[in-house]
Amino acid sequence: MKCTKSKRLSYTEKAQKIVASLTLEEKVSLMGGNVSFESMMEDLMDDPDNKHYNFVPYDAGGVEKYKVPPMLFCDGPRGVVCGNGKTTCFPVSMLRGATFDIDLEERIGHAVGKEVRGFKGNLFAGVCINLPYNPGWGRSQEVYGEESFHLGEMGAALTRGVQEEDVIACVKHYAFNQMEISRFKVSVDCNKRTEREVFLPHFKKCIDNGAASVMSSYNLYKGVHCGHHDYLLNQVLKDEWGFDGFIMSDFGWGVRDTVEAANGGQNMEMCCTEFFGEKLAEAVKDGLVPESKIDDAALRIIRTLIAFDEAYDRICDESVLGCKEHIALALEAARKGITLIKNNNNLLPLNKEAAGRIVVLGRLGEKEVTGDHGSSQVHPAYVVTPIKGLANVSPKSEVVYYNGEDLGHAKELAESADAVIFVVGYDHDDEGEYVATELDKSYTGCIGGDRQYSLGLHQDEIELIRIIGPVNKNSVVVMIGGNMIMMEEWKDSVSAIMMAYYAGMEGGTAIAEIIFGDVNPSGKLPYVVPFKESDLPQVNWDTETQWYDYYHGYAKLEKEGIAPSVPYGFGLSYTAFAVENTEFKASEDAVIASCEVTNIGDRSGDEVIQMYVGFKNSAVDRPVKLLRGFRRVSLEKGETRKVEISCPAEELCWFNPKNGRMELEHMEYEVYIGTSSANKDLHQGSVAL
Amino acid sequence: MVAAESYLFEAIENRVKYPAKVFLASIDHSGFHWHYEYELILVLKGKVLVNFDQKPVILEAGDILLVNSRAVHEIYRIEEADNICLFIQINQNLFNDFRDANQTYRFYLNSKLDTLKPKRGFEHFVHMAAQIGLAAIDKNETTPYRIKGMLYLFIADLYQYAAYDIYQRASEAAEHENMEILMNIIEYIQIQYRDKNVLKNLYKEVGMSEKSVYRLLKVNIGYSAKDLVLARKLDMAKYMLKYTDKPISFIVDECGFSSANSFYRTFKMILNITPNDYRKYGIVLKDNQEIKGYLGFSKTEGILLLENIVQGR
Repeated sequence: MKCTKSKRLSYTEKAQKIVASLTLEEKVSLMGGNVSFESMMEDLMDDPDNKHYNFVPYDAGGVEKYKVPPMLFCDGPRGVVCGNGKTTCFPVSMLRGATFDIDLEERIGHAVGKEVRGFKGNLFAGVCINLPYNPGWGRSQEVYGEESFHLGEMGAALTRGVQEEDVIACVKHYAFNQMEISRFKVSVDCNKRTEREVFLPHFKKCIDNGAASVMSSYNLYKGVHCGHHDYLLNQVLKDEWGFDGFIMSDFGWGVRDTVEAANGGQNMEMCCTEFFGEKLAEAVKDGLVPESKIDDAALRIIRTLIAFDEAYDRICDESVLGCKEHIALALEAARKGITLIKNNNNLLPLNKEAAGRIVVLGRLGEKEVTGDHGSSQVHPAYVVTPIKGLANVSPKSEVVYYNGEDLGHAKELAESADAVIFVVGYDHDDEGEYVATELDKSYTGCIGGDRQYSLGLHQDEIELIRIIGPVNKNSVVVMIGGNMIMMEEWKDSVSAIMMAYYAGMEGGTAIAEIIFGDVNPSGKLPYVVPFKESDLPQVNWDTETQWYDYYHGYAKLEKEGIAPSVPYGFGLSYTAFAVENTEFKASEDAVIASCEVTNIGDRSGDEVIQMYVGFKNSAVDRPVKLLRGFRRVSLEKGETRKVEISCPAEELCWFNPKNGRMELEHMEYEVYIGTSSANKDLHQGSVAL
Repeated sequence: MVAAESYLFEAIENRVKYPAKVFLASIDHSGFHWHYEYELILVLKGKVLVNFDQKPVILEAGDILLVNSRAVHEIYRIEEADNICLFIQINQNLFNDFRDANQTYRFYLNSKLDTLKPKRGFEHFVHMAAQIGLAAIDKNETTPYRIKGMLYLFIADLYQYAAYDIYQRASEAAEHENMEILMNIIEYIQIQYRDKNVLKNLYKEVGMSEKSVYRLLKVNIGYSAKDLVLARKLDMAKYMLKYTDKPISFIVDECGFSSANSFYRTFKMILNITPNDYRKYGIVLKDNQEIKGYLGFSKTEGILLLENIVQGR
């Protein structure tokens, strides 16, 4: 990486010189977006299809006479939000999380970085790593899964990839932002251990991996707006973690008060300047904000921008946008992330030659669904729907689609079919960025929000699957959605189930390739599926206060001795893998587990080997076990490979509230290696540290 | 060889500026046929039987039925009473205007069925059809605009309120181009059927091999080029038998049959009647432009019936 932290710090002196020569007004001008709310609204009214949110990079700051470029903001994460019909629409982060493929996420980072430059931007605000405390969070699709360690690894990979293209990666939303409809008003609270062990480690990991920008969240933490939060911004992020880059606020409602925000450590008000700008200069003159705060913000902004600007020594023009290579990468991600959950009697893959009539039922079968319609909506040239994918991948099949509304007709079709595929789940109205409940007040043009009422499918979809599923024994459910979808009411009505998430512009292709066996599925669920919603931590979605417990997700279920319906890290393949000859050892500062994996089935495939560490011997309350390493391996039929996974000891620390430090317990740790978080899929050993 | 219940196809010509043919007719017998156009039948008077989807339905005054693109069907009068029907034949491309070109839509709009009723009821579609029918009668410079707009409304409501299946084809199929070639093939045969070398010339004309043409036709309409030539020859022969006094030997030659023997044999086999008997007793065809057997009827009465529907009388 050319623009590492140390490289950036080498620009400190140059940046300081520029800061010293700027007037207060000039310095303050760096600290706010140059976009006006009125012009944004005008664009939206004028031509909502083309002049959509972020159709061009949004700029902030910039000082021409010192060659300080403006910050040029491009949103994400499922690609670059700018333009229309040009960009690549990748699968959402949740699907990419299901790939457990660090290398792939880094390559996506490169592609996205190039496209940001192709749109003449210089910052990508798509490293979204909030932890879905409850999977009903409407924007969980923008993050990688429920597990802090995994979120951090994937976020760090995207950060590296983007920044290697000399584009600033912006990590968001810092912090505790995992409730959508209450995001402007909710104050989150939790104890210190929860904060440090569950909700902050993934942010720290991205900073440790060089992220040069952070976006503060809308919500409050312990009663203080995160965009004003002295503790989170100044004390933790800048001082403790040594963050050298700049912070920006979330858009529009991220800064609420000039003085509190500036003193709290906010560096840049986005994307319109309302509380900063002149008001901030006034506050400095009135002695309410020390000028040193302004100098620090200006230094951070200038240093980061000139470092990246100088590193960017080539030209990415529009030819990189949605290019063949990037679309191939979007397809690769979809192929690797889509997760096969059930496959009774090896129904899948369907035989292309034998599968004559494929009946597709469910509203989403013919829809171009790529995720929410909020700030993460990207605008690709095309989207392959599930039915298009099926027809393209198996041109000899007769692909017949019906939305499924009339059960009698659906039954007739199902009876006539060689296989039935239900495409069910969510779109942008069910979950996603939320602005208002009334459509005309919403710039997203959809409802979105959290899944407040149910984590299951729509009632009519449940009924469709329950009644029509048993009609044809070759029935498959394809679920579309951004996070865990409950399956208990209908899972026994069909032979096969796969989770397709929001699989991007080539999603329909990948779904079909897996159904017809051109691609061997290899995704793993980055969340646990419980038998009951009440097994998960409960939240009040429309609230001003919310407490977060220490336990959530698979760690909560396991701690409470509740069996999951589908374990975290689970996913089926068309081949089979054997894990043998496991070894567990500790070095001075790491835990190492290794095994030999053999593909014992009859076709090539990928497996994700996972390492968990257990804390049964802990003197304090800790999870039974946590994911602390993973590696994706590709194996030819019959091939064996040794896989070694190492986890630094610091990843095993707990936060000692007595001394306020992350501490390593010196004890015997259980170490597990295998193919999911379920004990039956794991081999267990132990190591002492 | 052509099967005994030889299916004919109807090349619906849309010379008017809007992509539909709207007309009132009284039906005697159409024989089995198919076309690319979606065909909406609204019965205004009397009864007709439509053989459609292998399920014959009897439509009475006020009934509406949409025959899907490329669906083989036949229509005939039942009972002696007169019938008047409104036909709206809509170009299939209109349905794909804002959707994937590789999709075909099969709608369920049949007021004689108890299942799959449209969400706004059949009356809504009956009303719209009658409005289109009336708008088409008054031909002036605004008519094409009005009709096209109304057709779009009609299609939008079909998508929104009627049940339908989508048949999705692979993108590579380049369906659109194929459709054009298909139309060219059919048109060529319609005109050149008399020529002994019609098929050889056809392959040259469309620049495709015999095999490719065969495959294209089989996949799309289920009949070979040879079948189509023969069907066309028989149509022509039927017309000449009924409406001219030409001797059969002349007709044999004129319609491109190789010999009188083969003409008699083929005619009897396919139509189950000899050419002579056909001349004497065969069903009435009004002209050779249409495959449908239309009867004379009072257009004024048809218009009145349409007005009754539109005005809710």
